[in-house]
Amino acid sequence: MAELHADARLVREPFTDVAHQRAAVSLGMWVFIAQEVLFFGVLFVWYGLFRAQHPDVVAAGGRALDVPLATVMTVTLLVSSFTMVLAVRSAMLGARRGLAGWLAATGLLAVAFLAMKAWEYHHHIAAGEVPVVDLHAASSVVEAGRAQFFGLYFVMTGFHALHVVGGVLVIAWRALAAARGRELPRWTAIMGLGLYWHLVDVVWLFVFPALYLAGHA
Amino acid sequence: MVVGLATLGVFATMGYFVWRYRYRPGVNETGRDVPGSTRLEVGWTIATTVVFGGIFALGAAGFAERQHVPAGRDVEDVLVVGKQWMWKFQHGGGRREIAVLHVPVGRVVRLSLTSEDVIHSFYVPAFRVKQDALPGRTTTLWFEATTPGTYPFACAEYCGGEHSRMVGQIVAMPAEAYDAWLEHREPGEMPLAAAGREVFARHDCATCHDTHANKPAPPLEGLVGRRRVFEDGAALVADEAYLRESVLEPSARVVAGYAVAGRSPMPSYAGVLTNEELFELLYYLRTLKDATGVSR
Amino acid sequence: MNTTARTPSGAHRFWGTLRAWLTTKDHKKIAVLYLLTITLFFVIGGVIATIMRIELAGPGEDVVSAEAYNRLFSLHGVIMVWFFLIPAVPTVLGNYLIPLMIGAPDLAFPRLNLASWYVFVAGGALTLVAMVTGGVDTGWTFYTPYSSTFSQSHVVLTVCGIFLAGVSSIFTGLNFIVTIHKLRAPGLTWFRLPLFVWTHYATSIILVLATPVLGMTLLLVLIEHAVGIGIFDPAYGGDPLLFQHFFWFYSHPAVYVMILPGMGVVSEVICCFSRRRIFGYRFIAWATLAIAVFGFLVWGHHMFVSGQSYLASLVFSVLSYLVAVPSAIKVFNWLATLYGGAIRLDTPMLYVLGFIGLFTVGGVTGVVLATLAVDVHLHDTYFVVAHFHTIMVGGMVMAYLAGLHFWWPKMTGRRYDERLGRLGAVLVFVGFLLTFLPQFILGYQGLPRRVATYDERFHLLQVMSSAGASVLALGYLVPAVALVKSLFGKAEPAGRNPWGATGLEWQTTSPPPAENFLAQPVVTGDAYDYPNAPAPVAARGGAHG
Repeated sequence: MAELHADARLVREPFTDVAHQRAAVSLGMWVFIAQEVLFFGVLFVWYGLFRAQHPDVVAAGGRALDVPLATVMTVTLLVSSFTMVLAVRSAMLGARRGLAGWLAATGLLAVAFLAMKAWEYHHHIAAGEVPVVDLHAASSVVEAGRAQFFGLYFVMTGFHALHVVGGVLVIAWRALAAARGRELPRWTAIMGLGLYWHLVDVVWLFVFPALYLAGHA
Repeated sequence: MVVGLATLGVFATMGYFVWRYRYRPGVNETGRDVPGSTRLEVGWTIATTVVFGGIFALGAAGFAERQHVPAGRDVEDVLVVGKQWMWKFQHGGGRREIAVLHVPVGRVVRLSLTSEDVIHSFYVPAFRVKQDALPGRTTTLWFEATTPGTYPFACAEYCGGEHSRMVGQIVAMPAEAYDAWLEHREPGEMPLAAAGREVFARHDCATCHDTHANKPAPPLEGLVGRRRVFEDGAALVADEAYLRESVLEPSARVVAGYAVAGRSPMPSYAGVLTNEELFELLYYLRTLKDATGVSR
Repeated sequence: MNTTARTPSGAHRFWGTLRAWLTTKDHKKIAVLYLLTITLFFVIGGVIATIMRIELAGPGEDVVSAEAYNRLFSLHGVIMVWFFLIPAVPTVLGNYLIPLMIGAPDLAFPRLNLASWYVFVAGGALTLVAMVTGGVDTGWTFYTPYSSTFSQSHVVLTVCGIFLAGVSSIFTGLNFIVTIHKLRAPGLTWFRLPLFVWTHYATSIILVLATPVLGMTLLLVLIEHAVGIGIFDPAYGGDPLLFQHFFWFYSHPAVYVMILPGMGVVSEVICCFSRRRIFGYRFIAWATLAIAVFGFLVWGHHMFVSGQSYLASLVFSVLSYLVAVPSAIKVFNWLATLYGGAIRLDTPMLYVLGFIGLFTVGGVTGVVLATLAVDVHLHDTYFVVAHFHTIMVGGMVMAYLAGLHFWWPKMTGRRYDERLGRLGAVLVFVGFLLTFLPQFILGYQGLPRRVATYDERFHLLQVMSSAGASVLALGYLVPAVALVKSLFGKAEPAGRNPWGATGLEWQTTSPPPAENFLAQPVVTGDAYDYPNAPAPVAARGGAHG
């Protein structure tokens, strides 16, 4: 096993050794992830209830979404999770340039994901597939149901996209810091960032089948 | 009672211990060293659980009684609509009123509650009954007045500006007086079944739901209380909730043999019928229980 | 010349001190920052409550209009729940004491701790802005569809404020969990922890797992209110009951967030002033966790008359009894701890005895409400109002004041006036009973909650309640005077351990140094070793006994 990068300067109060601090940060990240799961859990309960009550609305809505594009987006996120793992590995080994490079790759993939998402949003809005229910204009229940499906779609993917944006900002910040070499690669922090990024990925892996694959069974 | 005694018991024990084991220099300067007693702990855990279990059973039994109208009783149906900030009533006999509800003594009164806007809650303290009125769905509540008199009711769920003035009175009167009162209909007020039949006719329901010809919709006579089998093989006994769903969302459950391309050919009437019209229509459909043909 | 030269340097020193406080990463100073903030919110909430009680002394719209009254009770609820009751004990006493009690130099993430205070202040500021620009009139429960599509008040601002307070809660809970897991002193095993730490551990789990549900739910209300996406309003195809399920999934456990840390304070204080080990340590610890776990499963008991299914109501009723069992066990254990003790009635102990009494009243009235048939009558009446005030104000605030008095010498290094302290404890207890006993009766007589106007037949009891509230308000002023007074003049120095208490926090100086302990403490025995504890040091003012 390669030697792990450990330096007393990486330790912050109140800890006195790196391994202890790492164990604490790791536990902290898992607790954070637990609360994120409940945060998104609310959306999935809403989704589940809506789908149980209006299965055909969800099926019709799923068929209106762009599955090939979403598949590409899924692959993009999966690959970005892989590059994030490589970034964490570089940080562990103290490889500053490797860290900067893999973080940059992760960030670029995430930006690509966001670009596809933006294009998709634009496409749906242009096609009038918007979530806002206009009580006076909606001439039928079918149209109102469609608006509700897109309400689900925009809210669920929107909160996920916000998490991606947050991740991109932190990734860019750490990548720049690593590239400039101003500070040592604090791999405890990178490890935490990695855990967060995998969470964002996993949430998408639930959003994708729930919305896009509905009605394709 | 039990809980009152429990409270007094805790207060008394606490008071006694505090006095008995008060700090007295030279007499009582340190506490006894007893770490605990598993037997005591298990004992009072079981005892509390048993007592609570008993209270639960009593409460659940009382609650179950409120769920269904007692069998074999005459039922007086009233539609109650909550609206910021008033209660509107429509009697089965057709009369409408606001803020005052006349009911017969000695008969079961069943309220069907709904709301036109936010959540309200119909609360009659004297009868110990309360039920939320929700927009977009109907909840029910029954009671029986035993003594003539007036009983205040109120809205118990906060609903905005004039919530505290969303109050009124139930006037309980002898059954004969009530029947006489019901007969004094205003012009335009008609019994619910008749009003429901009019809704049925106005929307041309019979064009499809007519038993005398081979029509694309299932017949409605004797529907309530009968078992229905659906396209996907599921089945249930038709009740009011099912009727409501069939009107508002016909494709949710389609009776076997009536689907066209997997859906019901009937359009949804959600947003087409008002709360009152829907209530009247469903009331009418219930009266078809023993009918043999839908009269036009 | 002298004065003009000194003024800038004085100002300079002031700004330097302020900056040091506002950028501190010391958990003890952050706790003091929280203490100041939370006291401010308690005062605001209390003033609002006072106006409400004055208005309710008459049956009509006597002092304020119905519209204004609706805003008052909504703000009273929002401020007291999210900006006082939930954060008070954890962020002030927990923040200050957990590292001390487990022998750690600080919380695991000191910067996160400071960040959580800033987020809390930001949330409070938004709520106050909403308040002064017109307020919110939805009640603290934000029931849909009233809050999402009907209310014309500042729902968005207030919801954002509460969301930030929630983020702050999650930060604090996360910090506590990691600290308790990773920073315990050598020899301090889980079952040697003071029960105060156990209750904060359970509280933190609830904060972390329940608060995000509230956060997302409020964001959905905000989205429906601002954008018009159909989520909860049936007119747009939503489901109003879904909101209630989400809301109470958070808000019922939140009640345990308020009461569990208070129970921790009670366990510490009752041992110290009975000079005994706690009775049934492990049972109390397990009961604490049981309350936290069952607390997540009882939300539906707020919805017995909402139209949820009969079966759901039965299940939620059973589970509500199950959560009452461990609460009852705790009360029995506290009473058993009194048995055979050498009881001193100092101020913290008086508050704690008040807590046990009022918690019992609150608990048994809770059992009454969990009883299905009875709840149908009492739901959403003054009985409910009196019940949860008994738990929250009677229970939690009493425990908070007990803890504040108990650890005040540790936090400040000074002793307060014992006679004034005891007077405050008695006044608060009596004032509380006078305020809320009439409200139990009002509820039983059928007065719905949240009403600006009411029928004449409720008038007498309402006046009695308002009169009691004035005693309660006076009661709250007394401890404030007693504690603040100790900071000025020649108050008696406290020494390390004025109460003769066990626990690591009493082994360091009062107030403790920045690093808490000059040498890493090592724990060799169980908590509450009172048979071998040092004797209390009598305060100058009050004789013991």
